[in-house]
Amino acid sequence: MRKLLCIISLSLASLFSGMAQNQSRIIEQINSAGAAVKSLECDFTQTKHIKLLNDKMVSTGKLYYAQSGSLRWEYVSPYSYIFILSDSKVLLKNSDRSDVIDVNQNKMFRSIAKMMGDCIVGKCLSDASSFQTSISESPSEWVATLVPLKKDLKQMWSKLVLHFDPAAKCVKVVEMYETTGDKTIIEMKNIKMNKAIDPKVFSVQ
Amino acid sequence: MRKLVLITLLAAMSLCPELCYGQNPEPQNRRYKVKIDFGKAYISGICIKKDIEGGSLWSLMNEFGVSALSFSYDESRQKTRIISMLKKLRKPGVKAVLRRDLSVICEDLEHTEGLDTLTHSYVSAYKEDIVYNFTPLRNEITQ
Repeated sequence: MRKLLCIISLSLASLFSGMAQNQSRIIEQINSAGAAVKSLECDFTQTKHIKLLNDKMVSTGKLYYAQSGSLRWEYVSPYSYIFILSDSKVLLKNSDRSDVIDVNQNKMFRSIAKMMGDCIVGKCLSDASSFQTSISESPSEWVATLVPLKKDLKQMWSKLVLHFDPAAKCVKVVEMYETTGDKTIIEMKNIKMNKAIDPKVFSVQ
Repeated sequence: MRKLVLITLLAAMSLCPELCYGQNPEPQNRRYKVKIDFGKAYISGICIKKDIEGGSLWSLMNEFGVSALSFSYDESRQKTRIISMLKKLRKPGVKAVLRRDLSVICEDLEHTEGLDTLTHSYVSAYKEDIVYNFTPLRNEITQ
């Protein structure tokens, strides 16, 4: 009996060690591909599923990212709304108002902005202080499930699920699960990497 | 002439299938672009209203899809009940002010629904620096 238990323990230990090695290997590949991303631009479709209303809300737009950490998240429908993160400043612009916010003075924006940028290049997978990460693998995709550990992120999201394209090693779908039972799915399309982006795109003036 | 009548009939059928087949299409939930101005800060985003028996259910989210507020409106009692609220908004007095103001707004929007696409502005009856703006969104764009 003791022998059997020993065999089971050893088998489980080797299985978990194999899974951990696999996870580390995938994270390493995503990180090295992410480090090579100097810039990225793509179209996105955001679908918010509202549990209470059994309805969904679809928004579309364009996303620009630069390795310096600059980010432009621009909605074109259902109406124009622009979010630009550049250095420590965030510009929020809609049809009738523009606001520049210092992210260091606004914890919520700082965490959202950091999370968005980190998700695009997969940096968040190695952020052990912010997320508990687990990865599953299939021939068509790598799926990373991130459970927030920090209070400000935990208030909004119960988990994030990132779908990576194993060939390009970049994120293609981000699913954000809220504590309310709602979820938001962001699909990236027409991804163009390392194409020169006009610096004006990230201007917060 | 017969051909012209046939074409007209086909065009009418494709425009109004519910008339031809006696079916009512599923009513679409009403959508609004919303801004709640608190003076120094504001929340903006999209609000969706679903009609239910005796009232309506509302959900407000910011542009990134993060749920900020959800509430129900009881038409007969003209009262609003907050169902969930972003933790950042849970400050003393805010919930009570929102609940009372939203009751007035829901009642007003019930009567203006479908009439226009203009922005409806409401100054809070309880805190003058809070201003609510509701602009109807066309469903065909958002779905």
